[in-house]
Amino acid sequence: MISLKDPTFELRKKFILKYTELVKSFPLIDKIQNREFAFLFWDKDYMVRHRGFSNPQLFLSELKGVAPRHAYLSAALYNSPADKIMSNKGWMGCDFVVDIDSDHMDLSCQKKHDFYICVECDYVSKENITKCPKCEGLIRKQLWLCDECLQASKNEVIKLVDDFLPDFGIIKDNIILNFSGHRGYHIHLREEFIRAMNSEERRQIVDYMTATNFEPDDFFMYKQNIGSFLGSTIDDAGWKGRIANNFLKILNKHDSIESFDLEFGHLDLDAKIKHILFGTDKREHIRNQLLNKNKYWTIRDVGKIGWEKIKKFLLTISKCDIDVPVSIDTHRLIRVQGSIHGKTGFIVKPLDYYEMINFNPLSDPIVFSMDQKKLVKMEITTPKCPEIRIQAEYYGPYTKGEKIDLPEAVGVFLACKGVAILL
Amino acid sequence: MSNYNAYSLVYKYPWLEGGREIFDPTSVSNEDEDPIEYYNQLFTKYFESYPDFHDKLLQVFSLALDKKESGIILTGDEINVILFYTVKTILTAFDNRVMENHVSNLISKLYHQRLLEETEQNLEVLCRKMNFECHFEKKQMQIGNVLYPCWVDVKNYVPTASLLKDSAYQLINRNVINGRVYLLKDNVARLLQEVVRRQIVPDRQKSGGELMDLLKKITHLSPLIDDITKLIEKKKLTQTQYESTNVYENVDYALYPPCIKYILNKATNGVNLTHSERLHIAFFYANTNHTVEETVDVFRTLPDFDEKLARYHVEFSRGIGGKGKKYRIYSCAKVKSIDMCKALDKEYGDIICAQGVFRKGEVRRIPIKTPKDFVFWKNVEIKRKLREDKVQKK
Ligand code: SF4
Ligand SMILES: [Zn+2]
Ligand SMILES: [Zn+2]
Repeated sequence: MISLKDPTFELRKKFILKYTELVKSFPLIDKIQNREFAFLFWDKDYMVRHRGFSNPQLFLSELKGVAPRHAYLSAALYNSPADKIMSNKGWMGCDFVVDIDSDHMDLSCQKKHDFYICVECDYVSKENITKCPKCEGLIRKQLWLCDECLQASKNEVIKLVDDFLPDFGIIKDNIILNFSGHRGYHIHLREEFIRAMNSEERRQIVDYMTATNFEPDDFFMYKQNIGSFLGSTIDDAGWKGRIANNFLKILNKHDSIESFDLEFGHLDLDAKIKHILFGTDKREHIRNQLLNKNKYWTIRDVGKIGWEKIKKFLLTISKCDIDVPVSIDTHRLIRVQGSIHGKTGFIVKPLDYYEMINFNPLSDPIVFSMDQKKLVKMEITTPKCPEIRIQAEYYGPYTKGEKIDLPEAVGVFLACKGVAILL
Repeated sequence: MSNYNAYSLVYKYPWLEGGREIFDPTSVSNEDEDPIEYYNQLFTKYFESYPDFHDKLLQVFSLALDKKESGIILTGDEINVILFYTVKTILTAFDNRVMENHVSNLISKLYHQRLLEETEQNLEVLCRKMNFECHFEKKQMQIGNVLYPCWVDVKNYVPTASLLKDSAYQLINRNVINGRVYLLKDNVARLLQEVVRRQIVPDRQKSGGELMDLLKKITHLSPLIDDITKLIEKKKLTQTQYESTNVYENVDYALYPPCIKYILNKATNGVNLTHSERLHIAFFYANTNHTVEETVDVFRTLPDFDEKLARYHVEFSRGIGGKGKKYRIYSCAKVKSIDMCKALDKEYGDIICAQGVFRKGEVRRIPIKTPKDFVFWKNVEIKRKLREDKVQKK
């Protein structure tokens, strides 16, 4: 018999049950009465927007009732969040949200576990294509996650909090962090002054984080006449100081090319430069210049082009990899903390900075059951299903058509990813 | 402490609290008072006690329209307050954005000079009164080889600095330590200059014909208004030259996509554009056969217009000078990602943007990819309509 059942039907049932449980101890939402809410459901491909709730109870009963695939709220605060016309909502300010997600990063693991698959003929590509070269069919992006990419986004959060927020006078005890439920984190800055900023003002903060429009007059350029690079000193403030300090840190840490490559191998720093900096005694020489607070940096055999490459490298490792439009937008919708991410079945988990450090994103946000006695029946529907770690176990890789019994949380994960169905 | 009492400060800097009370003709006082009589009394008093008031006022406008940045000597007495508010009132009545930019340029530069001459102590007081809390410390902060006398909180710095388009004032290029931006006295004066510029800009709600009619009935102002009108005519700064409906309301304008129309409208209304909006316009114009002049003209009506800077940016967007790289037009995806797409806007939206177009052989509408696609398809649509009209007429 052919089943015409919606493939997400079973999954949806699981979400309904889970939300009934979750709403009993749902994390508090700051200024809930001023936020716009939006939902993506299972059977509609558009977003239901402009929902408002005057108190947490109303929101939670709606959440439980509809058990959406994705739930969002506005980073902005409004007088009338439910008004359908943006200009009538009465904007009161907006959290400054930093979205850090490994999607935006260039990581070696992605090449191993991300695929682009034709929905018609199962053609599999590792390149980001938009049309199937074999049958012109539509392409489904199948983005995966692993410890490496999750660690990369965590490192970026730590960099943001430790290296950048103090520059704005924001201390780490005051920030609100959410694990996004997928490949990254959302950091909400709620200081009054930052909430009041318009997009143009936010752009200054964002530029600062991402090293955009860095134009320090005369600095950071090669001076032909003296054969030196005019850099900065470790005592300098702002970005100048940041670059000198990071340069020194790297020179201190890595005394061989191998050691350097372990940390930065994925970035393309010229082999010759790498050799000079980490494979010869010139390392000691430039290290001393930095320690002696000499703003002129001189290395024999490195000229204008070489220094440009070093500068580019130093900027790359010093800046923060964030999703810029999210931070600039003053009407942005962000995932609701405590809700379930419809692409993983993981929970969007609120964390403080110190919890984040020890947070294990493939264990801690699991809300569905891992009970070995209550396995669910699954059928793999994708030609490529990579391995995934959930808590202490690795599952997969699987092949198409394979039927397996898995813990509920793993089954839900695969079904959310769209690579398997719950039978 | 400071040798500044409230009055001497207001006389030198008329926009400070208390200045309006001394003299602000735009705030008509009593409802049942006849405004003509009220204004006549007000101005007669000053024109008669300061015989060269007319000439000085005219000089402000004439120097400004010649794009001069000095030439007027600011006093520190009552007449300085009157001058400031009379200029503001006249700007409000004329409602001419180009003249407004020239005049606010001149005035803000004059005050910049005055601010530079202030002692640090006075500057600190002024900053506070202008909502730009700035702290001068006895012990200066040494960064590198430079001693910095003062600092501003990042939270106070950013809003003021974003009024300035100069990249040197962007947060990323400043000395930032633990939530403080360290500044030199010159930097402070330059930042305050932008605040001053905002003060001379007219109050839009009061702009226009009614106020103008009123001013023309004032014995002493009417000849001045005539003189300024002549100046404007001589300089060909007629308002319509820059008004959206007249400049763009030709075939070209009809072909502009919603996102561009929206920005142009903002610009012609003298509302400052964001960085992304400026770039979007510049790239779009660069890629649709507009000249550098035409592009600079878009920015001319902006409150922070700086000819040199605007020209530089426009040329940059075309790869002239600078890095020599010609920038491509923003894609719709990019425009959408920065929330500037107006496809669904009530006023500017268009079905071409909202639903796409029927490409050859397609049965469904296919979304457009760039604002340039819009120009192409809009052209197709207009031509088709013209053809249809002709057929119908026949
Ligand atoms: S669809 Fe493209 S051209 Fe149309 S308004 Fe949006 S960004 Fe502009
Ligand atoms: Zn195919
Ligand atoms: Zn990975």
